[in-house]
Amino acid sequence: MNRVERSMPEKKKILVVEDEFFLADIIRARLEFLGYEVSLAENGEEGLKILREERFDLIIMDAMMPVMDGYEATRQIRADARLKSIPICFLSARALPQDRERANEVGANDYLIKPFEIDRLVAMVKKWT
Amino acid sequence: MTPQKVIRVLLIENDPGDEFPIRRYLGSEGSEPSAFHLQCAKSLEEGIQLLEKEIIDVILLDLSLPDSEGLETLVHLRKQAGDVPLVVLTGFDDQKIALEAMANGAQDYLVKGSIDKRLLIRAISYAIERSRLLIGLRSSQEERLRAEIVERKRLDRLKDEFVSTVSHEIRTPLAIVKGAIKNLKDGILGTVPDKQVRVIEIADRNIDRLERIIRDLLDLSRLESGKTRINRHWIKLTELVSEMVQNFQMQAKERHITLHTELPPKISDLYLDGDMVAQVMTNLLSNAIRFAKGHVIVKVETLPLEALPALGLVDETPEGLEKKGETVQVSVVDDGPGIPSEAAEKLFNKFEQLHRPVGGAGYKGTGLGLAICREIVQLHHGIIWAENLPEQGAAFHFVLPPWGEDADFWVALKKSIVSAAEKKRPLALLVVISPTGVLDRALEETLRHKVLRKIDSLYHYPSRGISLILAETDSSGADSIRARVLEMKANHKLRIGFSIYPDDAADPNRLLNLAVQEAGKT
Repeated sequence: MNRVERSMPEKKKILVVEDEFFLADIIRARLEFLGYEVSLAENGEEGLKILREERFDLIIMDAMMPVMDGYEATRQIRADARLKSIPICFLSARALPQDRERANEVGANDYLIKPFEIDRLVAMVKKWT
Repeated sequence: MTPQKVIRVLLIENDPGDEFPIRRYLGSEGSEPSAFHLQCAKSLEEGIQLLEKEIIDVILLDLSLPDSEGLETLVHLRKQAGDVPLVVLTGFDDQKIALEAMANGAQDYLVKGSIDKRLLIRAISYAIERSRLLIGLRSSQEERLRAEIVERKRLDRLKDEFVSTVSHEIRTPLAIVKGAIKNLKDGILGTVPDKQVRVIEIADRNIDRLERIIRDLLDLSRLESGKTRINRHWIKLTELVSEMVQNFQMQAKERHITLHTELPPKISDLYLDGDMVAQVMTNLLSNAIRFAKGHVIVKVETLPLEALPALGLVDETPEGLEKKGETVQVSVVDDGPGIPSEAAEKLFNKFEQLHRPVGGAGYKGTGLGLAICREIVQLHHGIIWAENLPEQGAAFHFVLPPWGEDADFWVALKKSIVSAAEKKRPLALLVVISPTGVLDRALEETLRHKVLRKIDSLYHYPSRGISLILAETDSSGADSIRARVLEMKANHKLRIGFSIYPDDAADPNRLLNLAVQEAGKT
């Protein structure tokens, strides 16, 4: 840790749950540049594990992932008393209204269709942190 | 020796003098049991009743009966008799009526008075054999047709899946590259030396271009496959045009080009898909600004109805097509280098990029824009073309005709007739009407999936029912399709009529009237 970071007010922490590593990496670079602390998880199960160990201010959740998808992970987060109040932003390649509806039902707070402009993701993150 | 099957003959004849010899020829001879079982009816009515009750292998029909006369007798009976072969008995040696009878579904004819036993038996056997062959031929044709439908559906589905998978598979990594480059450009990973900025910008611009190409390819593929459902509303075209021009003002300014509009003071609402027309405007405007030297003008004019024939849009306004809006011409005019004459013809084809010298570096087209414009304008039943101006520059015009909801059906019918005439092939117009007035979407879906081939089209109008335009289909084809639809939807009590181009009529109005009339009768 360098001096500059230590002197800053406490950083907001974001968990990016996304199986496409390169996309996650780009998101991480952008968000770290903006002063966030970012952790990555490859799927919903791993995401839940990390969430139970650390405290986060926002979750960016991909919809389609192996092992455990974003819908199931979101459902479990909302059922967990300690985690249920963390805002969740969904990323999905599916553009149909019913897909957005489904994300809403399991408890997502926001929805972004892939592929997206990084600026739109940044705007969404700022809105929820 | 296998016992020969008895042939059941129905004779419809009211003259006992003519009935007698036939009875004798078909009767038993000596100890041999007869190969024929003969039943007689004295009138057409009685004949039809017998036909409904009994199994009949062949009908011998006198055209002059107490309740029906001439060819009418045959035409009427043919409809009732299904596939039962029919031999006509003519009382006089009238070659003309005999030939007409053959054309109207008789398998053979015999001239009364010159019938002998051998001739009669031969005519009966041949009629049965001919009819059997015909049924076989028809069912193998149907079989082929069905196989063709299945195969085409499969290929269509494969292509659609391919296009959507490929575009998704390309877009995901593309989005990653785009994000990575943007991170670089925005200096997120450290300050970028000036020398590298240029390279990054080239990469960035070309990723945008690749994105546009993929988007255009997807759009064009959907348009060409007819998958794009046109979503029309009554809209104010001048507002749409002004808005589009407004969107391009910035881009024009950057290139030192003045962009202005010439709009008519007042214009009625038009029945258009606003998003699609906006896409046409976007493509034409971005081309014009790209090539212009100093200015671009966007003009909207209304045209009188009389101008349409010269544009090849109609020969005359068909009865069925009501004028509901205004005919408009939209022109996008630039003062650039114009269109090289060798490119003029291919201008609206896919990947036909114009190699006109471009005013500056930067934005490049996808080579698909004008092809998309043409598809969209054609979906609106309009036309689009380009011309060079006498002084300098190019003008792109498109005309949208003033028709409302029924235009899709009418224009499709007219186009199908033209193409049928060119190919010298028949065309069937099938009209499906439900007596309950309820034509559910399920029926439409069934027709789309089980009946329609790619060359056919379907139009659904509450007032008229469902109209199917079946390319390369003659009356026996249409008849078997009708039978299939009736069988599939037996509980719907559907009424189906059809008419055939060119046999029944060559004119679309007449074709529709005939098909509707027949549907009303059945």
